[in-house]
Amino acid sequence: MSQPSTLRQVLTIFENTTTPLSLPQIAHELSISTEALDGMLQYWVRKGRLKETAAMRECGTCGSKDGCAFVVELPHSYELASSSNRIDIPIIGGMPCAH
Amino acid sequence: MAFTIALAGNPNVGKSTLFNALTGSHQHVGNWPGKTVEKKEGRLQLDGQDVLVVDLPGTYSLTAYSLEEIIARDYILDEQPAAVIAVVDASNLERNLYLVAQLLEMSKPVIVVLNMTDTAASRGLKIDAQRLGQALGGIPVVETIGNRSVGVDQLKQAIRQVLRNPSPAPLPAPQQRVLASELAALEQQIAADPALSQRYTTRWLATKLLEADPVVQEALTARGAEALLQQAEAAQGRIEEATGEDAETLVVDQRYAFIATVIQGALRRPAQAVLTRSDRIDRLVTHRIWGLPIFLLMMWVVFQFTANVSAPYLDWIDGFVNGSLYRWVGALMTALGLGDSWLRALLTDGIIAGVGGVVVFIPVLMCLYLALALLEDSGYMARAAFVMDRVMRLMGLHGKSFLPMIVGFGCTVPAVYATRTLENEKDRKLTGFLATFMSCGARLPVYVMIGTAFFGAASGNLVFAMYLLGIAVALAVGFGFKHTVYRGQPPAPFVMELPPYRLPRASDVLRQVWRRTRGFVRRAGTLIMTVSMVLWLLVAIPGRPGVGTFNAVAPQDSLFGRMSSLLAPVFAPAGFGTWQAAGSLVTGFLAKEVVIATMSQIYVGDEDSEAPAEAVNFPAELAASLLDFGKAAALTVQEIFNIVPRTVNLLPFVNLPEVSFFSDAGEEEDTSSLEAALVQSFTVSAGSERAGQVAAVAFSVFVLLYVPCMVAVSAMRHEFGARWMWAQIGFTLALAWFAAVLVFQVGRLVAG
Repeated sequence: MSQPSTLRQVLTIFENTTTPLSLPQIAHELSISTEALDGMLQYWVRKGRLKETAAMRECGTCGSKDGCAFVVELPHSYELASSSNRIDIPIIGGMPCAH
Repeated sequence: MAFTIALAGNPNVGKSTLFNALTGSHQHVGNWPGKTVEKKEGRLQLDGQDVLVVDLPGTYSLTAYSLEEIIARDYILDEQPAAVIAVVDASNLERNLYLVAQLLEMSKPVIVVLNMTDTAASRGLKIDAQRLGQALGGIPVVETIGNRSVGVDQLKQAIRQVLRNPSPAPLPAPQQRVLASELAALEQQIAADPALSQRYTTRWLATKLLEADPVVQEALTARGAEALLQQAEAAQGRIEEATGEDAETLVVDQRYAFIATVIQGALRRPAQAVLTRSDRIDRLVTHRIWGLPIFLLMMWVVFQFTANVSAPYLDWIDGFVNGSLYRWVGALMTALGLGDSWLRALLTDGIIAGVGGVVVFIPVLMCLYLALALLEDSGYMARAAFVMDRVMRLMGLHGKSFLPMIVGFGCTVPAVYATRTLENEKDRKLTGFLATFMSCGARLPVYVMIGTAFFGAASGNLVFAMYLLGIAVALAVGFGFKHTVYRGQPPAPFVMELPPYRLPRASDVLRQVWRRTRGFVRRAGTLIMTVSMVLWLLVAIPGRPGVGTFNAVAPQDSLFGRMSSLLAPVFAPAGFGTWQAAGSLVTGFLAKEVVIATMSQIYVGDEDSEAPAEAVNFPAELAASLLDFGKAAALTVQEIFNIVPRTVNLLPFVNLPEVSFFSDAGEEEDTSSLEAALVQSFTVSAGSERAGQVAAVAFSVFVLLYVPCMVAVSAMRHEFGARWMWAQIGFTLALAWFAAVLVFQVGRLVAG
């Protein structure tokens, strides 16, 4: 078996790490730019191997067009996708809003 | 029209600027046929020749996963432009070359434009354009700074040369042997079919077949090329068997390998990575040891700011609402002949006392929202989640669980919904459960009121302690659950994007503060007003015969007083076994602000209504109120200054003096009637003044830990089901009671 590809090494880092990591840390480890890493992460997200969590803009209660004022915009994060536990919950409106 | 050239590139690489520089005013803007994506065409005159320049949609690649990608690649395949200009962000070369690699696979003459070379230089990146061109197969590479029109003439010269001699660059050979042989076999098969080889370049089609591109597969099925599709499928199987990797991943990785080879000789990074300001800050802020203390210090400053900076305005609004406004409305009703009516009592003792009691905390919440917005907009919140991840994982919790908890500082309801960002259902349920222990904005007025009444200027410490306790309890409960009910695999770590720090934008921060404050005010005007009116009715109705008549009954003998009295003994071990405290906690189930509204009505409402009516001097009171407002503004500035000495004084042996704009001589402690009533009530129920303070802390702990509010409970039911909701209600009530009793009993012993 040949040397694992950079693309594969990205997944391996996810599988082996025991601490939280930032994108620059991984990019540094692989000697690539964070932007190039971003492209690789997007590939694995599309393949279903990683899960990307984007900032949530609505809480699902009032369905406000501007999004809930109390939702904090948090950064993207990535983690290994485990198919056995994956859930897909749609945002459902019609709940009373707290505000 | 002699020639057509296409302009391709990633989004935000300055493609449109170059398009404008090339075509000037000779442009036509429309839509791509049948699509809502904008299409721009322009004309370029080169040596008297008319060249059509087509600006393709910005894409990162030429796969079939977005409309823009399909438009861009279909255009190149169908319209066969004479050349493709690949605009590349020189400061982000590796990512941008991915598209260039795909363009080369299409066997089209390509010109690479290295745009934003000034930005690349500022980051210490040195790109050898000539070497880059050679590494890419001998294609022209032009350096430009689009927004300054630098290099546009050189680009035009490169276009001239390519149009004179339009030869595609030689294709890079795959380094992976199995992949190379399977590609070659497929290329042979494609070349043998004239219809296919005329329509597609063989390498591109073979690559797409190995990638299992759905659009290409569909097109080939329509052409009846099933044999080729079957051969491609077999090739995919063989590749996977030989390498343990699927064919698409190998193809993509070969592109990255090609890019790595290309930049090896052409791109020189600074010997030592250039540390941006964000990197330097992060080294400290996300440090393994210092990260957590910095996070705690940040929270301490936030709550000092929230409690102390808002205090002067809080006092001013309190004086205005519960003083001037209360008297003015009373005087108006008296002038209308309704001085002793139930309507007057409803307005003053019900609505003004209830809603007003909550509205006075608007400055507190605005300060909290301001502090949170500053942290969010500066980029620190992401770091807080990163730092807390370690703590969460130590407790066996998923690091991402802290993200919904951060949302919980604003409001529990979106925090419950934010658990959707967690993949595992057990983690979701547990995080939703723990998020309810985060102190939401609605709990803050309760802490501030208790803190101000019992601890004066040190109220910020109580607020900070409550927020911290919320996190600690969440971690402890999570730890307990993870090692009993939810025992399982340790949580997988996650990778987080840490956006660069930036100076918060005033407009964004103020908009956020405004939106959140508006939500609070709206709630005061709807839910809290309704509850205040219902509560006033319950306080006005006698609880048993012979204790009074409607609107003429002592609060403790009212229906509400009687009902609350039944519950009061439950709280006696926690030091606040009074009917007022019990009643406030019951109504607080609806919303935490209602605790304040209830206290405002039942602690002081009755006393004030029976106070002799004072003569109202409207102009003098208004002038005094404006003067007080100015004083509050000055005191706010003073408190902002004092955050620094108060923070520095946390260090041992340091005692910086605090600023004081007004002499304390002759100043009385500004205590509201509610605060005075609270101190008296808690002192009596706990047995002494010191024990009363401990009981007040125990009360705050109960407010922190018991059921957050009705809507949050509904959200729990909606997300996790009725069983989970009831479990949460039961657990939090029991936990809150035990914690409050523990705090009071131990605190009383310690305090003596």
